[in-house]
Amino acid sequence: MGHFVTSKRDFRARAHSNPLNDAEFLVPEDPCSVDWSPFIPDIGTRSIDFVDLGCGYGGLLCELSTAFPEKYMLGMEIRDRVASYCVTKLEELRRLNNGKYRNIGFIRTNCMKFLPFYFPRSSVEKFFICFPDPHFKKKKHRQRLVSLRFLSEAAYCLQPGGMIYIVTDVEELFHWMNHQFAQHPLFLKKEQHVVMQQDVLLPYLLNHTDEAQRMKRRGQETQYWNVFQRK
Amino acid sequence: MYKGTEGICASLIESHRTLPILVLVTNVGLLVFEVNSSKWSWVSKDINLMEQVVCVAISQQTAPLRLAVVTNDKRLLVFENQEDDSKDSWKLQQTRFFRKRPCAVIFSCESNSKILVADKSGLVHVISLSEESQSLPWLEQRVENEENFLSKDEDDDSCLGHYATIVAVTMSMNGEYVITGDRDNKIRVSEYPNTYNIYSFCLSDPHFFVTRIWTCVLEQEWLFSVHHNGEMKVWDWNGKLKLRHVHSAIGFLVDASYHIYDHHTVLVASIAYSCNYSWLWIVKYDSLRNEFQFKTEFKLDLPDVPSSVRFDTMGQLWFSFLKEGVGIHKVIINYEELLLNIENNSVSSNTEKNNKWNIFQLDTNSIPVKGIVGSSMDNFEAKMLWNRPKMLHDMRKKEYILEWKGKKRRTEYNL
Repeated sequence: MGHFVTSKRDFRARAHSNPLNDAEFLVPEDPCSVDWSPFIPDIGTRSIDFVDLGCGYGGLLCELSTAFPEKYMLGMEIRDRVASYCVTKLEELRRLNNGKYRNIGFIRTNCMKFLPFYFPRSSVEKFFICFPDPHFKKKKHRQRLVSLRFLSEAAYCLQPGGMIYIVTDVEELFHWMNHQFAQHPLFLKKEQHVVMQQDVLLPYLLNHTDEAQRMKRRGQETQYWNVFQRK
Repeated sequence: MYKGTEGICASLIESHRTLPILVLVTNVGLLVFEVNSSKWSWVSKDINLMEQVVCVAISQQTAPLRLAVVTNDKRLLVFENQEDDSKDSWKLQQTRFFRKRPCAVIFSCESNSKILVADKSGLVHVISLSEESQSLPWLEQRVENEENFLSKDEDDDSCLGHYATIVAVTMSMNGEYVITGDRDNKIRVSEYPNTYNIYSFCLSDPHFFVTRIWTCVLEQEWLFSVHHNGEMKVWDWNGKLKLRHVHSAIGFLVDASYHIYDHHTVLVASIAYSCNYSWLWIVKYDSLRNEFQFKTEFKLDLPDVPSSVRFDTMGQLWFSFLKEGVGIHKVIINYEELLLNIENNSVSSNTEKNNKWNIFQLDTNSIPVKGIVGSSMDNFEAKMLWNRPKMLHDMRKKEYILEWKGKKRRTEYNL
């Protein structure tokens, strides 16, 4: 394995982006007939299984790609520089490892507003929401990703029995998200110890995201996580 | 301030789904007009209110007939018809304040009907009519809620949410679905009353958004959406596009209405204007064995900027202008002739001839305005022009973002 040329240093981005902005994104008109092959070469006509909402620098999907080669995954990121970092890094990974990393892809989009434009009804198996923007100010709370209106749309895209994983290091945001999920009638909270024992994805979410590794370097330990299942 | 009848102009027309009743928002007050008997009845003579009206809705139930009005100063007013000994009288039943400016209003089809109010921030509120004395405690409750950060995002009475301003709301005929359209061009079909359960999305290019949505039953129930660039789309309930028809070079579509002629034919009338011209457009669509077809269309040049258009249940077309002298117009559509003319490819000459006797100006002298003080025409017109073209301005702004090259462009539009 050669050296990486793509470095985060070349893709400095702002930490926040306003998802309620009216900016134009080129979104597919019909979610049922989207051609994913430019982003995910191996996908063919199959549908996407895992979606990372707000994938950031895309570390999680790159790990999952080799661990679950038969699943198809998509990362969505709104910040343009971060998204272009993901794409160049993925190209480089594919070049260095022949035939691998061909089941994942990254796109730049506003996943808060345009989620149903990408996925048809009950098609997605799992959504990951890892370390979303906390938006501490009261005025900015409506820009948080997890809200009741978002959950309705996510429930529409999820298969029955599909899961949403949330991971964060901000306690206040964690309570907020739990409250939103509890209010929504279509989601059930999974017991944490059951998930701990059975779920194969959870260790990746807790240890292999960029943000989790950064926390480890800093010596921060507390991570808040939860898994919710669609009824 | 002036007295008299000459200067009546209507900013909004709304028609009942099943009864031949029209509601007119005019510069002298809110009027209900029975088409059969040409009878007028006043709902409100508050001209300050009329300047602020954004949207009007009539209840489906007839006993009692209710009217809901949402205004620019964030109010919802509900009027109720009380029929005591042959004299119709309307009474203000409920007033309610909102935190965000409401954009659309509709009555639900249940037996104990509720009002759905969509607001600027993308939420739809459900308001039940039985709780009359709720306005004050509700305000206090709101203040408490402000303290509690958890319940701040979505209000208690909200039933569904969009991320952009909601432009149009409607309900399916059987009352099982709520359909909302927003400025991202997302048309969301959600089940009612369990609105968290989304049935489908009708998605198209987010660039051109919806101006009006309605459902109509031909062989089965269809969902129609009219977009501000002149696109007319027909959807089935799974969000599948059945027909897309673009009126070429239409400018900005302001309002549209429909009339079901028989079980196979629907007529859609829309008004549009741009800098140089304004048009009334009547299009005929056919549905045969669940396939939709565009049949004929017919275009009429209008002398002035139109503001609203509606079919009543009898199949007459009503449209209004903002200008004082032009007033409210009525078109009686002679279907056979209209269709014949178009099929013979002699549209322009024949329809012009027909128009001369087919268009009537409404006889405003029949409106009992004795002793009523209307608002000054200039003032009213200014307000009305501010209401709708402001919306158009916003639409255009969104369109301009496409050509945006990193610098903010402020362009004055001649409307």
